[in-house]
Amino acid sequence: MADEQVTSEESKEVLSIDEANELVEEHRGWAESIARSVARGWNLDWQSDGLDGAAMEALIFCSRRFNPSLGIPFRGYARRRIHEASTEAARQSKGWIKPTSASQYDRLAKEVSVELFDLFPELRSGSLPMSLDEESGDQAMRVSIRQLLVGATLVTTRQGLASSSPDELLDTKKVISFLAHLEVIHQIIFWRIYWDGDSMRTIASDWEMDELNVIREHKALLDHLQRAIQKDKAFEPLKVRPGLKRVALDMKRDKTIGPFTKLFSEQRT
Amino acid sequence: MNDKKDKKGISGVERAQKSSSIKQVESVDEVTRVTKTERVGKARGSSSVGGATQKLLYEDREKLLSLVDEEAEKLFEKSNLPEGQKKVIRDAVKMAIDGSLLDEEGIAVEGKAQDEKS
Repeated sequence: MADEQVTSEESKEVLSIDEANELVEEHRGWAESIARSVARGWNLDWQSDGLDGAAMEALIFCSRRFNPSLGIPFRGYARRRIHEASTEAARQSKGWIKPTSASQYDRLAKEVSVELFDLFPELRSGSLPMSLDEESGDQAMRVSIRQLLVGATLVTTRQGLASSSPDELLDTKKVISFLAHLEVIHQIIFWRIYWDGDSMRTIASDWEMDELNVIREHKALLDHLQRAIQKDKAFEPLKVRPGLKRVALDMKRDKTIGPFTKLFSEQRT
Repeated sequence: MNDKKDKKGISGVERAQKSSSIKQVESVDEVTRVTKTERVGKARGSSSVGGATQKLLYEDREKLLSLVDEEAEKLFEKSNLPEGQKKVIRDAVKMAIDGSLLDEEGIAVEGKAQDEKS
């Protein structure tokens, strides 16, 4: 690392190298605990699998770029980046790659959990995804967990479809049939997020709307899909919220076919 | 041009309603000088848009992991998803939650930083 002041594009109020190093020393134990938590989730060793080094590198990187004048606490700024670095190190580690006595399901679960961090980035910041309603306490925890379970169901559905090994093929038809019953715009939201890997911000930007519209719609869709899975039957399609009506009407006008409708009919032939 | 043909009939004139008292005009405060706009800082708060987030606490670890099992059981009770898929889903969520919980040392560091700030 160059021994000079790092300048930010936004402001000249940056930390000196000494100040940045102080930050590193102050938060070293905290960064290590992030690495340990990532390792714990995947039953790895945080040191021998290299997560400690990755966490420290990310901590140093963040300290050099931290701009205190923006009013964001350092830990809020750095935590996600340290978590991402630790996750990446974990995936490259021997403990992840080498075949162990762990079952194929364990391996699949690890891959799905990695995707959950991308789908629900608040996890990296140490928070649970929140629902649209104003629950609190235990009820709020349960709602968040249900969202994660439904998200994981969608990921496994996609992975099951993509799997070339009959042994790994997971039954996807039922979930696809639920998805095929959704409004076209809702199908496209799910497809783009879970199949194409688009962020909600990208979707919102393409549709020229506030990201919040897509985020709220996604949460409502997860609730809806959760009920369908729980009852093992498709419900009436979820109504499109006002924020997305314009795009939904355009799709209807263009006679856009939902991607899951297409997929479901392909599966049946 | 005033074309009488297009005019609709004039209805009766409504009785004038009683006017209420005129509110006293309050004094106008001195207009404060417009100050220079400060640079807008980044929004604080959680990364999750759409409301407050619920912090994951290490002390809730056992409870959270057992809630995953409970909620998965409810979710899949009537489902025909294969057992293998259900296991993958359940375990993946547990891994994600467990991988986001800071252990005691991490919490202690965070707590110390909070105390020093306040």
